[in-house]
Amino acid sequence: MANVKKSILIRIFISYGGIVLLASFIIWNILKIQFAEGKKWKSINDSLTIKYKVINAVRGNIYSDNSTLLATSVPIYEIRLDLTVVNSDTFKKYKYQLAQKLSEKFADKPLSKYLIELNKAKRNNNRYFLIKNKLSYLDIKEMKKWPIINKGRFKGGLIIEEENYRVMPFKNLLTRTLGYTIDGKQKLKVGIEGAYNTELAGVTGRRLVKKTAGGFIPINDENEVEPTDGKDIYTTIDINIQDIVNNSLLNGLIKHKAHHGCAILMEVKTGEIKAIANLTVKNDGTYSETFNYAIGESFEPGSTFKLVSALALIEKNKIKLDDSVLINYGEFKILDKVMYDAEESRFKKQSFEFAFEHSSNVGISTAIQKYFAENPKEFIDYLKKLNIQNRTGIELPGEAKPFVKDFKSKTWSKISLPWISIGYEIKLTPLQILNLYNAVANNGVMVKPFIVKAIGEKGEKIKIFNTQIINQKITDDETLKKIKHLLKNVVLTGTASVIKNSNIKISGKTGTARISDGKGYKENEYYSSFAGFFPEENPEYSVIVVVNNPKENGYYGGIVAAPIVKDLAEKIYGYKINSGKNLNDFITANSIKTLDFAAKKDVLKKFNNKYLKKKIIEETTNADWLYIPSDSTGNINAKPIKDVKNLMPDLTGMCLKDVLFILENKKVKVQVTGKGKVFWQSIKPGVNIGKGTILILKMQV
Amino acid sequence: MKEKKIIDTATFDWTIIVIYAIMVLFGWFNIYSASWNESAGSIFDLSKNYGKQFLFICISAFIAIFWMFLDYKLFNIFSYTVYFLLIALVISVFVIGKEVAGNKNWIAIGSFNLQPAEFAKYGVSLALAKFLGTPDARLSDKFTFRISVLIFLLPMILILLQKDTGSALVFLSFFLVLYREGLSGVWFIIALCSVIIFVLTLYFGNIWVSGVFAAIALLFYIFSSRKKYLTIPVLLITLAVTGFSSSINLIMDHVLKEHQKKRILVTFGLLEDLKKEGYNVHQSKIAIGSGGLLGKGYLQGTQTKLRYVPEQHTDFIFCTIGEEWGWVGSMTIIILFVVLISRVYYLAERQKNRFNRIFAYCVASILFFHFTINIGMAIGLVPVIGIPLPFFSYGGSSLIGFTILLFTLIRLDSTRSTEMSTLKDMY
Repeated sequence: MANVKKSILIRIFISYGGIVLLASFIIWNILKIQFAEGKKWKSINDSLTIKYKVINAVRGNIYSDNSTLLATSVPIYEIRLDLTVVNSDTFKKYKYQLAQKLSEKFADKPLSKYLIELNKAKRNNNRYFLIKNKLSYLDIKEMKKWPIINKGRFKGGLIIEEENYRVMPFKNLLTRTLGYTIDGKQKLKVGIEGAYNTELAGVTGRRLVKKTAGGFIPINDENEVEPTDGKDIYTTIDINIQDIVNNSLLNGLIKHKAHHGCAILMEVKTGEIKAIANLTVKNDGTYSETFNYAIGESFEPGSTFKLVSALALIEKNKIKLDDSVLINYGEFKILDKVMYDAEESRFKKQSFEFAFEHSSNVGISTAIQKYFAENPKEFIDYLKKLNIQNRTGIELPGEAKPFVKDFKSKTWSKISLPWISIGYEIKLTPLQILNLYNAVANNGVMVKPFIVKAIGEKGEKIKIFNTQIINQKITDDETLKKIKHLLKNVVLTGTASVIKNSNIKISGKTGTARISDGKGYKENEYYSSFAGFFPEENPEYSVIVVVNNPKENGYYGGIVAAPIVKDLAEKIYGYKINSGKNLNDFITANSIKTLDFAAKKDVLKKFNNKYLKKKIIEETTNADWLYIPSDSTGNINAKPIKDVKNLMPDLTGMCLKDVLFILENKKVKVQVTGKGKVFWQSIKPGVNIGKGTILILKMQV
Repeated sequence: MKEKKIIDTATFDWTIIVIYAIMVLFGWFNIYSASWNESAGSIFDLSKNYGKQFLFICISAFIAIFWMFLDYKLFNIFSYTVYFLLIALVISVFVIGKEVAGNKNWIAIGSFNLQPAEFAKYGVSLALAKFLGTPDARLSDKFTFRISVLIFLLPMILILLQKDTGSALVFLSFFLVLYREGLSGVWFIIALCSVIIFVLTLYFGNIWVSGVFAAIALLFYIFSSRKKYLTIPVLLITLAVTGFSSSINLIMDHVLKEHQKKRILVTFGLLEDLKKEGYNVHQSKIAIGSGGLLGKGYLQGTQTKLRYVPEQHTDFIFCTIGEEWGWVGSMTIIILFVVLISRVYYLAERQKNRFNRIFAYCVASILFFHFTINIGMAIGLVPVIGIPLPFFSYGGSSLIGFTILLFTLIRLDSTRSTEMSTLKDMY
């Protein structure tokens, strides 16, 4: 008995002892976690719950010269759901309705597709499921009433995120010049956005916040760093002129089926860039801005460079305009290389004036060879005096550096001098060439081209940039007079005589240069260019147009580039004369901008361009009304307007008159803010509208 | 013997009742905290976990009172009936069970879910007490031993088939009862050795473990003076060890499911899987570890509030306590449990009646198993097994099940003075 009792006591002791032992082990481990390892776990906990919250500064706006918005930031939102928060019954009950709402509102996917996506996200316990992005505030307001979403953060798992979205009201106009910035691994700064990123971006603030069950709460009363909103940039761009230049260039490129082209218009006296257009053909045959050729692409300019040769010869008194130079029927062997004129000539000799106006390569190069071959340094030094070897210093990032061959360099040969004199073996950007012509137009004063006029803060201009003079006088008045005479005659009797009957008198020089791919010159590929200024008498604007690889309807600078200049010059003056009136009334025929929204027959009437006409007819069968987005590149995205009763049409780009016309029968109350054309409408196209619906429109010039 | 019709409340063990009340209420507050967010309303909101828990507490209180006034003899008389009814309930899950996440462990009653596994323990406790409580039951008798084991193995296997591994493993705690009632300690030594070999094999691989053990056995054998008697036992043991060690990989790969295997590896630090199988425990450790001495304060926890810890109101409720009440809170819970279990032990040993004593042991063993495994899991000592912390974790089945278990014991205990002469009792 005693033995049994003892055995039982031992059993009790062992089993209870085991319990105490294990309990002690647990206590010891909790001690370890909470004290010995406490710091580690606490810091992990803090890293999960405490963070710096970035307080975004509002990015500054970019304005044109008359304070029209060129780029601005608007808040956009995205809606996401933490589907682990939504309970299964609720989800099951409302998923269909939600999918239906989504499909109805956005009309981008069928209901079933939305349903599949929702189901999949729920199955995968997606905690950050994107419902929709790029939503406006009004969208959000509407969607907050939808099933599941209306359950909010704690039952519906609703997450709304806000970010700033950059909007360019003029869409594709000036894309590259306005530019953009990309942060992150590969920092990219393009155009004005890039050049003035520091000013535009402002300073992001930050604040220490702690994640709690109630959301993020600030730890301190004050922000660690207060955000400073970005400053505004006022450019020299005249948006109307920009529009005209862009369209003229576009039409030229379409006509000649060119690969790309650019045009720059500069105010002679100040050096302010009024317009800068760069268009590249896309695979589908339309054009858009993809590269800033105007400042980023240097090329062998060809004949437009003869301006410099003429300046050197005349200023140094080497030659008079009527001095005879060798033309040799358009073909002459200098040392071992034959130089050709663009076309055969019937003259053995002609005056220097004739050679310049008709852009004779033989004439100019033999003259230069004759006077400078002994001392090429003199010629190169003259180029340097004109500041050709330096960048213009325009604010935009990516300006290409000019290439001017030094006579001491290894690649310098006996034929370098004659070839440089006609614009080969030298590389310049369109802007750099334009700056030379601008100096001539500006009575010898060379100014620095610039595009940013002022930096503003809260509507006040806090820093104004003025014209900077690079060279007070590039040459004497006598030389200038002769040069201007030559440039005038290029248009009147020379290579650009195609445009001699322009309403606006233009002076300038054509250029047709072969394109080098680094190894040699390509067959039948040319740069066609025209650089000059207008009006000829008292120049207000200097301009350069460069067209790369025109394939149809000629390739000479006088045929391809000069007419573009004529077109834009006439329209600009038309616009200036009529300013105050509707620009659309003046610009005739092939300008697409005139036709944002109109009856189809009116649209077709206004088009001379068969290519566009055909395209419109093809693309818009079944529609009586057309809407052509004010897409400046004029990629005729003519959208047929289906004027369906009770559905809101797309009003973007329309002027008020058209809006009222189309909404006349719809009994919609329209509230308008701003002037000009619609750039934002409160009710999305395609949404049902009823009697008394209120539509808010934001208009902008 | 029917002179005491009116039940004397003084005979109830108030220590246990008070501890029970404290635990249940404290648990309820923590469930509220674990589910709390800024839009949380009243703690009585019946659409929320904490509101439902309040309802369960009310039901439990009612059952507790009712149980205390039941005729104590009923427990003994109907023990087998209850056992088989509950087994039937477990089986019914196969038929009418509600499928949740691919497993059927629940029976839906209106908007509530019943988990029969939580009640099966009670049936086993009664049946085991009844079976071993008969005066002539001896565990050294093979038949008795087999039946005893069968009593808890039957529901265990059924629940295993329902893929509720956690609830099934709880039934192993009845071995502790058998030990107290005379089961040879060798079984525990074998179990302990198996665990050690298992862990060693996980760390060093079966070849090392087998090799080293065989070498030790060989040395022992060579230097032993009584080789004649030792040859066969040493050989058998060595074979068993190497065989078991070698089969572990097989068990890990084929018997266990992928997530079970991973949880085991995570526990022993052999696998870092903070995203999935190790996630809960890692987050739970962050919660408990960041609690410090006094905790972050009630409703102030960030880990648990932000739902970093899944199951925080059920199986991982301990980490809410650890985070918000700190070391002091954790200790309080552990001390409450140790006191409760000790008290049940004490109660068990003061019973003059075998049925009562064995039942009390069952209660202590079940509580102990739940307590160690649940907290051990929350602090990463044990692989994640989904079993609740008694009285704390959210859940009606669990709370009501434990209440019935505990209050049956209280009722049985309250009768020990009147019992003495009715049933013969002996060690």
